[in-house]
Amino acid sequence: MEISSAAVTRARTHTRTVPARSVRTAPPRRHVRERIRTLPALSGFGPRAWALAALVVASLLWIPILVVGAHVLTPAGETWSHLVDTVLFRYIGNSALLVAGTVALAFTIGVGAAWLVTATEFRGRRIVESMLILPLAVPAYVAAYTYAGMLDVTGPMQRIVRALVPALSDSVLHIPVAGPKAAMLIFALVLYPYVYVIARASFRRQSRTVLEASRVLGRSAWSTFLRVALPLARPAVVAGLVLVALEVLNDYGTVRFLGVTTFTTGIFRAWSGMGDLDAAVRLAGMLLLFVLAVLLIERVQRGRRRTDAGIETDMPMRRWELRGARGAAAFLFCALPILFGFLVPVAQLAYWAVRTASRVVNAQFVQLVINSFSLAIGAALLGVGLALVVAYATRVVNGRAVKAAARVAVLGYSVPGAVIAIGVLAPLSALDRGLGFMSASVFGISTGVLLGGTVAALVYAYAVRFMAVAYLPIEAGFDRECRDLDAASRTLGVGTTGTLRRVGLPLLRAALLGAAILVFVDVLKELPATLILRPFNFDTLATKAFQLASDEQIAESACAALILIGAGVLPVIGLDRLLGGRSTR
Amino acid sequence: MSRLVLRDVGKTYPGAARAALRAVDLEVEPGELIGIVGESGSGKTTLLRTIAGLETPTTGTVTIGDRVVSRPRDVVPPEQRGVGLVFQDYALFPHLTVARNIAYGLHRMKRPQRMQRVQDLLELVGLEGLGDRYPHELSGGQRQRVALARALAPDPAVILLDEPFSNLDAALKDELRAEVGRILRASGTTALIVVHDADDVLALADRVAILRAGDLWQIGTPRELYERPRDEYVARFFGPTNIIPGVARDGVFDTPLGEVVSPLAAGNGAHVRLSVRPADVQPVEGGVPAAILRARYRGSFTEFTASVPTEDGRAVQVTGNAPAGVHLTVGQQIELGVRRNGVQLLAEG
Repeated sequence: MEISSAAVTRARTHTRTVPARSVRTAPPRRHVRERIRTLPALSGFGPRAWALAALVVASLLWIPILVVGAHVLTPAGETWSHLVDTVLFRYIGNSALLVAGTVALAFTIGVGAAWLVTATEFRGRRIVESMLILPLAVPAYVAAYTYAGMLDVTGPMQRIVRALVPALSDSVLHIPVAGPKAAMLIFALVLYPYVYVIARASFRRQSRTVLEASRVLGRSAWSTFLRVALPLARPAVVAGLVLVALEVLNDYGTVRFLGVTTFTTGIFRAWSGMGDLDAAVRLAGMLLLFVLAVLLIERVQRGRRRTDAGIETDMPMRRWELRGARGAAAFLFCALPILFGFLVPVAQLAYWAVRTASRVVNAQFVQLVINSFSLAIGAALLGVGLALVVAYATRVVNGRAVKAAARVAVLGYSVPGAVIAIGVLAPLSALDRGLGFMSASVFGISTGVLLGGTVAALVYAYAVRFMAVAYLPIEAGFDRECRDLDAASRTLGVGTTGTLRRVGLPLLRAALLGAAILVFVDVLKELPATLILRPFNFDTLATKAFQLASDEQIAESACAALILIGAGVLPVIGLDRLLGGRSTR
Repeated sequence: MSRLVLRDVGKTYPGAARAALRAVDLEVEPGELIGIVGESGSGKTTLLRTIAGLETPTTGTVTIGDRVVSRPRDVVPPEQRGVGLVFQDYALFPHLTVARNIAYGLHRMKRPQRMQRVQDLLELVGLEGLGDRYPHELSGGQRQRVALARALAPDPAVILLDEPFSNLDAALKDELRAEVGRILRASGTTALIVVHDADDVLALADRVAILRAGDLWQIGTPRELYERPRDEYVARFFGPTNIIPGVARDGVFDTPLGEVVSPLAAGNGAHVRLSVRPADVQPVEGGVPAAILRARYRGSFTEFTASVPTEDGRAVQVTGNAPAGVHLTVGQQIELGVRRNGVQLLAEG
């Protein structure tokens, strides 16, 4: 869920909701540009400088990923061959299993619910339609330990059952919330909204007449769904499923808590358990390959066929009324994921929070909030700043290199946080060693760790991972709000920097704020990169909640978890607006 | 090929102030081709969608063959009616090839017959060899033909065409009009074509129905509608016209523009209203005197508006066409006349 808004990327590539780039006017005619150059007071930062800046930003963001990729090619150490002999294939198998199982479940829930709320009418449709997105605000690891605590022998569930059914009052049920199956179920419950939101938008945009044509040609409603609606929505649905797969591969907290060994737990074990950075980087490289494979599948699945009808009708699809038992079944199908993905965990957490607040909320807790918020604000400002540079450069310079830089810079969001963290850590600790060696030999002073494990390294890693989250709304904002206005400003003799300041920024205020909020929330929830790169004894709400839950103090983690969920609900609603297409009828 | 009967069909959309269709009665003989003409909002698309089973009528019944397929609250679903519908936007399935689009409705047919049927239809619509293309790889006219072939493939009892020519440019339109007529005749299917321009169906249809604000305003052969329009509204569907009063005498009408010879004139001395097309109003020597109010050069002719004094001392304005070479200026006095047979009789004088 850390990349909730990355959904925007995927959806956009398929939906063409953004006004086409081609409407932009040609660059100002030569004589105008020459005149601008002759006015030094107004020109400031020229187009070439913007291009350069965009390329620098893109390269900076790619260093950690390239470090990990390149390291795989160097000769391996001993730990690595040990890993290959013992656990590597279990990592691969478990990760693949989790991805496959979660994707299948998320497909069923997400596409099923999306079709029901767009194509049919049943009692309570409006309520479930908007609430189906909410589980996205619950971090998977929070859901995992909430259920574990809830179903525990001493947990509320069993106590209630024992109190209600006297016959069971002495029995102790062991309901293990652990293993790959539990992990899949929990992932699916909180990640299916990616598929739901994108599939729903796709179903809504589908030409009504194409669906009617199928009916008139003798196909039933069900057959029409399978043969027309679903194939037409396929690219969008696959994009949603890719997001789900990437989230599963990114996850550390859930699999760690449920005792499933995957790439991410392997990376943590190699690095912090065995102290072998080389093996950790290699594992990260393998995970990167896994991610690339997922992205490649997504690219390949589009063929010559097109899935947009070309013509969009304003007429809404005529809903199919489900009455009685069928309506109840449809409602249940949509309500259960909301219940188990959001309402139950949130209610449980709220109950715990009320009971533990007096003990938990103290000066240390306030420090946690301050740590989390300042990190998230810092990363949001950096992410938005970098994204603004790249997005504006693509407008100022219509060159291939800049476009490529933008595309490359955005890819960071699909790389798991653990991989980025390791990619940041490896060069920094090499640098630390070099500096330590120099200072020890020259000044006779031991410096220890200077750069690795600092707040700066952490913010840098966040920027690599979440820049895309800021970039997309900003790019869309430029297309929507600025249109030809910046070109107009420049033909009036105002330079690129002046245009950005006087035209771009004022028009983009809302987009910039939205982008900053998205990054803020994602950073707040981020776990794996924070755990790897945080300074010693430095905790955030996410790491503290996870640590308390791992130490069997699940109830004590509820306050922190609720803040994370509360912060997440806001952008999730924004995401729905952004991707949902037309409003509900 | 079946008989299609509409009885008292009405449709009011929920929340709409006005009925989209009002008590429409229509009988279409097997194999007949009917053109439905109306302005936008006249209910013509609603009529088609009701016949196709995509809308439920508020009143009345639709019968195809011997089977009542629509009555209020009881509608045979579209997939069980055997009605073909060609959508205005063609609604081709973008993810299927041309051949698979055409084969889409043939799911009850065995594979060899299905392939054969697709081939036959590709041939019928003149698209042999394009079966493997995707819709976005075709031109507008070709897409239209695929849509027609797809609708005809399951051999529907009735085929409905919704504004089939509206998305085509003028040159293509003429070609396709003739082509669609040929294909529909060759298939022998009972057909309804909805258009907003009467020109599109005059050469095509056996009968033409005019819809006006949800009412079936007039129905008849193209000739009947043209020569004896119910009123000015219908007359204007066939192009711009002048409405003038007249008195029927034996074989001629007495009009402010002089005597007009017409077989429509029954010799009973009735006062009637007539429609006169501008092309039939021309400067003639010995005609009625008139003064030019406006003249507009149109190349092969000059269109003019002139004021003609009437017997009761008032004046009527008429628009006419002068042949190329005749130079007209505003204020000029000319003499006007109507060509032989150049009037149509409005039924509701």
